[in-house]
Amino acid sequence: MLAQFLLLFILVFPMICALAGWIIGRKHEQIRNIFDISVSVVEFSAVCLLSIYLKAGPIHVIIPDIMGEGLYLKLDYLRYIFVFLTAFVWLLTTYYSTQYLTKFKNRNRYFAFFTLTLSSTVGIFISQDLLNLFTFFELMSFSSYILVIHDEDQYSHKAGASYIAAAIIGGLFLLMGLFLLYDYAGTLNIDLLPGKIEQMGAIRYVIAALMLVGFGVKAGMVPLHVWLPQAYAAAPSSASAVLSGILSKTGVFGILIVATVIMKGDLYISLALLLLGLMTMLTGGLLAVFQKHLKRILAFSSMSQIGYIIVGIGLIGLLEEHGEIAIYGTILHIVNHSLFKVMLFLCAGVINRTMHEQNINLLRGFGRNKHLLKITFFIGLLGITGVPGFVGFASKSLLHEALVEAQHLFHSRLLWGAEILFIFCSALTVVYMLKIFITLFVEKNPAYKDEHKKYMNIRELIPPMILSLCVLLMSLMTGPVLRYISKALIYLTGHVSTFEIKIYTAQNIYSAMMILAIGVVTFVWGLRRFYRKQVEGNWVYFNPIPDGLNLEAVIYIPLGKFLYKTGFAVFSVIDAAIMMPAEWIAAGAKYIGEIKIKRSNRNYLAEFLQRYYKEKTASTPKLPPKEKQASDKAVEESLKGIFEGLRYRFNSIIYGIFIFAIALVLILFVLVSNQVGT
Amino acid sequence: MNTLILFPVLFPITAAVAFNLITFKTRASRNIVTASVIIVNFLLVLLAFRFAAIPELQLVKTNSILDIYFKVDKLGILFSLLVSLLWICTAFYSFEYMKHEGREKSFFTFFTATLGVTLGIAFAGNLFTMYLFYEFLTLVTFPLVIHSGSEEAMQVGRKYLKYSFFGAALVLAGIALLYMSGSNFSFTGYGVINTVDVKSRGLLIFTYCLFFVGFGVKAAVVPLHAWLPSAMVAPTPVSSLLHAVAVVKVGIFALTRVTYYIFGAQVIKTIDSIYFVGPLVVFTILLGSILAYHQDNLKKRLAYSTISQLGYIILGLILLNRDSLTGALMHLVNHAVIKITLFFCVGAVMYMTGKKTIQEIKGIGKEMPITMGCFSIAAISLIGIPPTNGFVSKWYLALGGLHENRAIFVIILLTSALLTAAYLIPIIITAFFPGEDYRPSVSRRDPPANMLVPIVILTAVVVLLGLFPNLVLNFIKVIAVEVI
Repeated sequence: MLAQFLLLFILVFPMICALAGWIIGRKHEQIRNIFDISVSVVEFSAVCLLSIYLKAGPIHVIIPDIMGEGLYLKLDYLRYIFVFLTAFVWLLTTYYSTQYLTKFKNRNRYFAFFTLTLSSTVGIFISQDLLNLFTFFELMSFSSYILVIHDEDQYSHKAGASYIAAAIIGGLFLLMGLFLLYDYAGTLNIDLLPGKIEQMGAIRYVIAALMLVGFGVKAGMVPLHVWLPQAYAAAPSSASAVLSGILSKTGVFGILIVATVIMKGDLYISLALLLLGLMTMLTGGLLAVFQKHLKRILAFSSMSQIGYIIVGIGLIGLLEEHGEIAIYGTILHIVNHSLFKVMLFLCAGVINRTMHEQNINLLRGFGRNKHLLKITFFIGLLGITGVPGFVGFASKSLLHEALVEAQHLFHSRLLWGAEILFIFCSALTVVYMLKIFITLFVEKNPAYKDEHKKYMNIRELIPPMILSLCVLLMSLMTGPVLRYISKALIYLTGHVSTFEIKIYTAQNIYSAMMILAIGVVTFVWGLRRFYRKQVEGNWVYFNPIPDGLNLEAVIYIPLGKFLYKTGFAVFSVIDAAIMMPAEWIAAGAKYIGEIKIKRSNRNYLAEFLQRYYKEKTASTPKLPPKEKQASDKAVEESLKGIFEGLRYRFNSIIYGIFIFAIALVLILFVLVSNQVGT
Repeated sequence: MNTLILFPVLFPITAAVAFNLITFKTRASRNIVTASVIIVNFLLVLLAFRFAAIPELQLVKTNSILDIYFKVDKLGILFSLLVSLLWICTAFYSFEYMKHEGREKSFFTFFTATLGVTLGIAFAGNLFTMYLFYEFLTLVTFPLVIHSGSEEAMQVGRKYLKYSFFGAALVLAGIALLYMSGSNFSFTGYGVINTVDVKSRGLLIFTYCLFFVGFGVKAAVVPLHAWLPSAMVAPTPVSSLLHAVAVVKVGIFALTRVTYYIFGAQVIKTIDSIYFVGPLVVFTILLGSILAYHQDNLKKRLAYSTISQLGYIILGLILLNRDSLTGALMHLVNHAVIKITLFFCVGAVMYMTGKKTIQEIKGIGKEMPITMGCFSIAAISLIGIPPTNGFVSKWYLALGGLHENRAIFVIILLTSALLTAAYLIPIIITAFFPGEDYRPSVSRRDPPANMLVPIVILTAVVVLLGLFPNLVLNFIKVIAVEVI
């Protein structure tokens, strides 16, 4: 019972506190900060507490009648990993935000929506009914939108527009998928769906594709990634951290649910995911290498890493019963990427807050003497590039091994290519991480000489340092972490894992070293040599990709505009075609109305009235003064004028209409009763 | 006790006549009297449900045509409750709003009278009675449309009359054609036309199309939608209540009556009317939302949006299955609540600041946070994003569309939802996130309580109906079972 309560609590509590925090923050900024931090602490402790109850089996909460279908929450080990990550990252970022945002406007709004985003993200991970999941998904999109545009400058508004458009369009695709799914399966309960989906025909591919598009948008899957680099770069760093670390994982979670649970690792879906994942990996990696804007590098890096995860999900399906290794790799990489990327974004935030600059050419040598920051960042680098000994190595090796295993299973050229791409992208990771690290922390720059602590707020550095400690800890205890993942694995495969994991094999270490070597070589003799130029005596990186060349500017926006303009043209024509005859008739009537006719201008009504009110002559003239002046002359007047005069004589048109109506009704009665009589 | 049915219809009309005769000393006294009339009338509606033993009443019957007959059934209950409740909200809103517009006496007279006439339509038991009140509705709302008395308002008023009378004429022709084949056209669950043979099929199609276009005028179906955006010159309470809720919904209500209670779902299905009216509906949905995007004037934008949303409802009606009808009736209720909220918010902005277009309202969210917050929630609901009520109705409409294996309709619904987002979200963004160069001008100026409270209550309803739709949903499902 307490478990159910706790599960509901972690969903509802932040939602209420978002509002409470907002109310408090209007008056007392400091209290609000403490309040919000304690909210995230409470949330995190509640999540930790849940792990005890989880041992007895999955926790279910069903509340009927909410949204018609009822609210159905479920927590199992797989979901727990996501929920735990969310609560943990939120704890750190909330604290970080209180330090980071000191110079920003609208802090109160930020914290309210930050906490609301927490609630909706947890909601996504624990909802068992896809309808509930969709609800939280949309809620999250909208509340995180406000975080993205926090700066409210032109750049963030542009990024925000892309973000919200992508979110809405993705949401509609997902919704279409849900409509079809519900129509065919009659339920949206994730556990019941796998049984139903088998009986469907080819429609299940349509459904899966629609839903994958919906989730893929949030995950940043190619070619739906256009919003991602902009949004991550535009948001305040604390928000970018959760966007990249956690919110993108909601998309990944959705893809995992659709591909592995609902579609049971269907071959075609898995193959498609593998391809899309590879493309995402490559696009993200290549673009990251050429960027010079710190947060954009990290954003594209995020995309590339999510490509790995999607490849992993594809491999789970391809390997079928041998898929356990891919599951381990995927889930571990999800966890790793969350930790690394949150940490890196927070480090970027530390730099950004003081320098208000993100161009790494201008930040050259900034961190050379800032050792804490340097070490933190370096641990992130070691982790994400997969240096043996670090946990990033474990997840990448597992994914790599899964890919190799798939090669053995299928003997396909495609998978050969996939492996080469995999290695190449891993090398790219090394390149772009080195690019940041060398430029920011190694190169000398007289501007920042002997600045050890200047421009640094040590409290700000605590969350990234904690994260780097976590990374170190996980690197030391990769075994226990994998054992925990094996519990989650049961929910994906249905049986207890018997698979023995060996990470530190000669083969793995060899390939990791090879990747590192390729990366370093590419960096030193490739990137540094060909993509730097000398400006005013300094070597600066330049981006060979022209500014306007991206999918959004080249394809999506023109396509959208074209579709809209066509639609508008068609419907304007229809609108006009309907209105034209009416206008002709009106013009005709106007023409008739303007025919001049002669009439005497003696005003019978006025004469009658004057006779009637002999005494009160002054009050009677209800006539336009013009008519009074030309009293006896016959004048030419248009029909329109006559009618206007007539109308004027009614006290107001309202009564005229009423008299007309009453007359109509009377005539109707007379006619009908006559009919009855005969 | 059957005469109880008549009270809710006649009481407001009588009160309206009285308003015209009495001169109130102060504005407050008139407001109190108006409010109490409308609230009492709501109680009368409830009384009529409770105590009318056999809820029907034959008022006049001279022959088979001239037969004024009232009957209260579930659909009537739904509609009358919706109308009475929204009327109360609007009344309070108007007390404040109409201070600016002037000529309050005339406004409240016709405002109250319209309530009676609308309830008359809700309780009408046969086609002729409904037609009678339908005509009355045009007449009592006309003064409201031309309220400002300006040249433009007069022009729009004429347009409104022309369109309405044209529609009514088509309906009359439809009634005449129907009476050729039978005599008793009181509303009955599965329709009164039982047989369709080869001979009568063509005639039935023609008759149904006459009704569809005729009532479609009020429901702003595409060839005859032009009056609705123009009618936005009227004061905001009028636009909101009459042109987003009462008048247009009367068109829909009448269509429901004709489709399900006169023809019957089976007959309509047999005569394949969807091929004749379906394209119109699709045009309505898309045209409304595409043209809405081009409007700078906020009220006009909402008016075009109404056109497209009404298209949703009619789509649900003509798909002829239980899910779609449930969705249609749900959306009848939901759209009424959402649209009235949106209009109230826009009206509040106009009332407090005089701003009417999107460019002008930059940063208004900072000045009027509660108003624009409510606007945002209602807008999100109109797009159909859970957990708001707009999503619930869209859910059932889409299921209804898929049920008939017409996925194209669902795609159209979703396209229109995207367009809805495209024309509503910029308003929210401009209002709340004006950007760096915005300098907050004045302090908070949310409207006075009389306006703000209805807005907040209605917004709460928007969310509550989204979270707990079963309150209304179960009632509507019973209606759906009764007719299909």
